[in-house]
Amino acid sequence: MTVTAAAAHLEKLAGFVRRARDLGLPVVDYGIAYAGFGHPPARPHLSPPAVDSGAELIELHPQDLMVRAAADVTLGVLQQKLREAGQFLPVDAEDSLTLREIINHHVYGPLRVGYGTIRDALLGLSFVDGRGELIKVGGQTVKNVAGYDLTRLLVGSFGELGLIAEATLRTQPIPQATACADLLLADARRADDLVSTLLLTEAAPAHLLLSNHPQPWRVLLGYHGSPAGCEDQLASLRQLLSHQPGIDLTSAEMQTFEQDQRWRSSTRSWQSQATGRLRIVVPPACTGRCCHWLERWDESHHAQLRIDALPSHGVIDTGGNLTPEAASDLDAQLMPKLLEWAGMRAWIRQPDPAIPLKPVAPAQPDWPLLAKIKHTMDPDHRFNPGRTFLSRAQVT
Amino acid sequence: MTLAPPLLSQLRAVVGNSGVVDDRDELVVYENDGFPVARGLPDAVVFPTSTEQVSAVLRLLHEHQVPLIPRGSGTGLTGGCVAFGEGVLICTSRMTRIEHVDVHSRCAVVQAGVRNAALTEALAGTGLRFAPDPSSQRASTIGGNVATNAGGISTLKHGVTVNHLLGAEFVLSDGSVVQSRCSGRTDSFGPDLPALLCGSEGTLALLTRLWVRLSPAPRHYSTFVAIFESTRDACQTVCDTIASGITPASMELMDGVMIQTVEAAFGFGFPADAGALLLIELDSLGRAALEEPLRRVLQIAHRHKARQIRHCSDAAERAQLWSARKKAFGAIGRISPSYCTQDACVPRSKLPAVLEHIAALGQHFGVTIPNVFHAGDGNIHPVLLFDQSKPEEVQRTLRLSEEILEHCLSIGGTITGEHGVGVEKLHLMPRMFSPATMALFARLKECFDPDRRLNDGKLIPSPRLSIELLQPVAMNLPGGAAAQG
Repeated sequence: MTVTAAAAHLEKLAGFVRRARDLGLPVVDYGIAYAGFGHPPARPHLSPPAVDSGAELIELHPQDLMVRAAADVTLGVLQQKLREAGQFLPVDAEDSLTLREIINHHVYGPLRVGYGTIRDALLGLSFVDGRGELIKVGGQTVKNVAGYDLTRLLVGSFGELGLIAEATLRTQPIPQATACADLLLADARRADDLVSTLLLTEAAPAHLLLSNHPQPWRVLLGYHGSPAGCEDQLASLRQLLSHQPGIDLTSAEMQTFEQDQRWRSSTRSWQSQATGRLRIVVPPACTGRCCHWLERWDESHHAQLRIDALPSHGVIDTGGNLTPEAASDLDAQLMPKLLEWAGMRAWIRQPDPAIPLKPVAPAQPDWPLLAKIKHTMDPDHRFNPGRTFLSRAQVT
Repeated sequence: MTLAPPLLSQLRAVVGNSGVVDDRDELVVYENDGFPVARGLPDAVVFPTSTEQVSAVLRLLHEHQVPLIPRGSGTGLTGGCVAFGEGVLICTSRMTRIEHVDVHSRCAVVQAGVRNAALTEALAGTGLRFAPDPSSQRASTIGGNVATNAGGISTLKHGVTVNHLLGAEFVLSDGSVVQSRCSGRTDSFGPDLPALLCGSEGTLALLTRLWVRLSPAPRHYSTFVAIFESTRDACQTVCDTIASGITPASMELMDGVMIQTVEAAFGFGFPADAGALLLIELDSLGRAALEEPLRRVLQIAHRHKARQIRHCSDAAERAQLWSARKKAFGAIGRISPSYCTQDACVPRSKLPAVLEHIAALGQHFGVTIPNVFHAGDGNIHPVLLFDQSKPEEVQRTLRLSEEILEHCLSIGGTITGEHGVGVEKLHLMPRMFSPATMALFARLKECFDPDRRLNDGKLIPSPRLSIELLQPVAMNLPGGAAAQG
């Protein structure tokens, strides 16, 4: 990004928020993939100005493995630019999503086990606060402890604390080689022990997904590194599995990074086509139990739930063509289990917005303080007002 | 300011007689941290052992409107836990319980006063460890690590403290207890409150319990020293290694002055005429995974004219090499009565030029500056040598520090990579952040601590307390602290 284009872009967004403030209108930006998340948008409202998500809004520093990009840049455009420099951003999201949407909703997928999430890649952030002021925090360095860490505070904030304008991110070199392996499990609960053992061995993967499609259960693993290193990790995996009866290695092969699309779970069609989509987070050791419970619920409700889980991090994405009644029933039966497992859930998309389920549940003890922070950063509740617990109390 | 006797009695009723220190001679121990320029006595030191005690103590201080300063082991390097003549230090060093370890979910729950190294020691046999490894890890507390978002020697690969923080329990200045993400989950929904507290230097809340992520402990290491003619060659080796896709656990650089100093003190066998050395360590869960990266790093080092490579053949030799790195600061004590370690971070590609600029500044100011630092992170630690008994040298050192940090800011760096702001770098904050950003920081501080009693005057400027390190030390206000109004 040229300095002029970047500065003009930031000023444009700050000016937009000030104009919304002068008009007394809310600023609504729910994103694309997360458009159905939270209570419906306030009306009337303004949406951030559409900008060209072009390469001129990207400033690449290949030697420092760092990129600065306007938040309106889509992941696809950014990845293309990085690819030209032999690098990539290890974030699992649809190419059409902007960096703003990815940060606002903390979007991640199977690469988390090897690379972390955008929370770990984020070095600096510029955003416009509720007063229309441009705020710049973090920077271009991999370590920085000056000032309050507002960069990570905004990760997963549903776009309710400010309008993100620009992000500086740590990139990764494209690995020389990739090795992929598929494991078959008869029971999802086997995944918990398998993964906790796996992560302590040299067979620890770069990406990992537990999925119920095709049935019964599959664990999809991937390794990144040199060709020899990947071969070594596959050999370690085989050795580990020789002591794990009931888990079958169905395929193991070397691929190029470009061929390996399996970690891009967020682009899986079921997620974009599902009428109801739910993310559940539990302590990692409960992942298999949670998947097993969902499977049992599905057997009695015939909803044909798709279940994709990150057993390394206790994250389960599930959903399908749910009726409003089925979604309500699933939610009602799930809540006691979540309390038992110290889990949480969020409806990314609800079957019928007219019969709303709470977007996020159960309520957490830090919500009152988070609402206070929302009020501090966005005193007029300009950004996505009423979308979630952060401002809901004021709206109702 | 002296605490009213009734308040002291009430504090003793909460934490017991041995939990309160108010004798002036005993308080001297708590007048500074690892930044000796900033000094000040607290009115008292309180040692709670539980969240409930912290809450009760803070409620009392709230009722009496007494300022308070959180403190762990006091190993900070920026004056962040100094009382500056007023207030009560809340010392978490007796909150040492490791409450829970969940090996399957790779999570531990600890009280804030648990030492960093104590947690990893307690994990022996599990294959897990707590990854942040600041140099102070044998003494520093996990609460202190979180409060300063501590880094360490293996940050390059394993991240800083915030990357390992899952949840936090904390007490606000009015005594109310808040839990955020205290569940063993690796994620939640909504803004990341523990991340905001991480690195907030005790200015927002007092941390009482932490939920931390445990990581697989590496089982195999490849450690070697590469000797170079110049720091430029060593820095270029660092840049090219990381850009090639290899992430060593550590890439530590010592310049020629530091090598000579360490050699004179301990005789590790490094060539005294070397321009720089890199101590590089690769780690892994499997030995085979080390071979290919090692071969490539060696190729890169040779390409940048490494004149000698010394491999560690066994654990004892590895320990000796790390000992050389860790004893570097001890060696400085042999050649200078005092020293000030600066802490800035720059984009890695700027390292060669930054080191040359620092050397030129040192010559200009007439100050010797050895360098030993985390080169892989771009986190420089120029060590400014001076004599603390000579006020003009103290002032000169502080001004030189400022020039170094200004330069780092001008090339896209930050004023602190891992030590924090405290009072040492407070005056530079408005140069790093815009007025709008500083104003937002102040509003967030007010959101948590409306009376501004919690470690006020650290990290962000206070309208109530001003600490001017560049002014001559006042008669009765150590460190140049002055209460406003």
